[in-house]
Amino acid sequence: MADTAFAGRAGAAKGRSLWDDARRRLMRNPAAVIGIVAISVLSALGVIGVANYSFPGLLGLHPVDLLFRENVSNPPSIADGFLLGTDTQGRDLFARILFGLGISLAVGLVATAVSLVIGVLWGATAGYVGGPVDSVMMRLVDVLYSVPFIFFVILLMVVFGSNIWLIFVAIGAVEWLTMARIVRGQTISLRQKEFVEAAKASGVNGADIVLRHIVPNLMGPVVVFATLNVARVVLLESFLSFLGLGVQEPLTSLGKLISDGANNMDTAPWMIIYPASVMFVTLLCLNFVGDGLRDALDPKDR
Amino acid sequence: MLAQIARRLLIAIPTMFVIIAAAFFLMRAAPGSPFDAERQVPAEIEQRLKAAYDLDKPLPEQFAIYLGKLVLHGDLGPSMKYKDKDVADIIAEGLPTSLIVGAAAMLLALSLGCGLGVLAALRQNRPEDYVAMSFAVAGVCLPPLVLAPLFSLIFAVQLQWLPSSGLYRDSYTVSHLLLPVVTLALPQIAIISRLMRASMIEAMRSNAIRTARAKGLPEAAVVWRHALPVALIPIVSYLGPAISTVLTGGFVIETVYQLPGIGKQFTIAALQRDYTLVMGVVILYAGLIIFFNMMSDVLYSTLDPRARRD
Repeated sequence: MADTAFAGRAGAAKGRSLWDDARRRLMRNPAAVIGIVAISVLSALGVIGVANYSFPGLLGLHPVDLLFRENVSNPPSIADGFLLGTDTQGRDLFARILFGLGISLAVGLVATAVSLVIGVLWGATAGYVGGPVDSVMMRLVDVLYSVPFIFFVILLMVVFGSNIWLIFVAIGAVEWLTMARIVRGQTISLRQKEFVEAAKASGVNGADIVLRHIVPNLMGPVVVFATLNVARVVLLESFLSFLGLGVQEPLTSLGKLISDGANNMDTAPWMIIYPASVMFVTLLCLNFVGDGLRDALDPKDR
Repeated sequence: MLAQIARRLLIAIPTMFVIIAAAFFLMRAAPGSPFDAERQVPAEIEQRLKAAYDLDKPLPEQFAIYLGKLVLHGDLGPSMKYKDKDVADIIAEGLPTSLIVGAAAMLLALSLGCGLGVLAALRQNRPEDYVAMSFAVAGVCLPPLVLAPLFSLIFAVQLQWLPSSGLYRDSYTVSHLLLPVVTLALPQIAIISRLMRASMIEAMRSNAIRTARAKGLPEAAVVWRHALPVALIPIVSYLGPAISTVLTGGFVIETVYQLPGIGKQFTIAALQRDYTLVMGVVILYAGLIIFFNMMSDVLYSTLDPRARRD
């Protein structure tokens, strides 16, 4: 935050957009830069892991599902070719962690996208229309806030069977509430701005004003929330996996690997240590990026 | 304040109704019935079993019966899996454990979180700040799911300092509860300390603090009497969500550390189609969450008159 005062002074010289400014500040924040680089690497590894599932043996990796019956619960060893050891069924843990990482990130991204679409549209509509429509829409959000959602997610999984698409939708449907609140608050302040008035005066209809003028201007807080939300969804999915209600075999996720590891931690501690470390690093990086983005985009600091 | 509580209670009624209805019909939509797992019983006996629990009636009628008993007698009905036990009994058995662990975690999170946050704010951009905030970021990234097994591995299995799991009923010893409480509290300590830091920094920059300093108050009085009460207000508004997170987070903790709380019952009940027990747990938790959210909002608007105009 030491550099914000500096950025404020320099900003007066030449007109720069919010995003240029934000990018500069973000790049000056070492934690955020490390986070961005690390997240890119982790995402690439996740993609490789998922690709290795579709095309077994990719890049010389062991196939995700191949059982090495001679090597059950091997400790990590470079000589054996099992970099992070094997699990209790003799599957290569390294390949499984990459695969689980990919699935966890995919769940995080898709569920966040679902919550983003619902939350942004809901919040922007409520904030822009205002009046009784706003009160009804936001009252509904208040009501939903009181619902112990984790119970309903669990019930949904129990009723419809655990299916990765349902996980996306269920988690996304839970997470949109906060998004809607943030967006509504922003929209109410944007609604007063001159450019909205100008758009109205030139005869743009309400839906277009919301979609083309308001939504692009509230992307700042939305991006911050979305980044941090990916981390939260990864956590939520891992919780479901822990209860046995998350992604199912043959798929796997970091949470599932951790809960498998937790059951075998006396005899095979590497089965929990490595997935847990990967999850820790992933969440840490997402938080670094999210916090960095917030510092970079927060207009209060400008 | 009373008017506000009354208004909130009025909203709470339809909220509860929607929650109860959703849980009821969702649970009934699940394939299977509570009597599936048992030995194949003759059709006639199964019919009588179902009749005993009113399961032979059409769904809307069942819902009406359930709701009627609940509203008129506060009766959650008999469990469908644990013979001769009422749902209320099962909840009463698990509640003390869940509440003790939850309350202890909440207290720990509040005291440590606020303490760390104030420390970081007063030493902004100095080593103490960085250490406290690194701890906070790590806390957000170390969810119970990861912490619980790692703590057991380190403190119980490797060092053998503490028992890894289990809790004999009514024996709430510190050594048994320490790991669950710390695990549950850590993410909240992280969140609360970050919130506290931000609001304390803002409070210290306010005009009121400049005035307090200008009139020559000692720094301790400025911090404790003038800045801290103002800075605590956002924490109050976070209490509601924090309590519901701790309540539902207790879920994982109870499963991992094998504590006999209610959270643990829920998943088992849902998988076994114990309709009434599922409903009982949902109603209890929804009630608690609504109650604590309401309290936190009322307290917040009492403390901060600006929030009342919403």
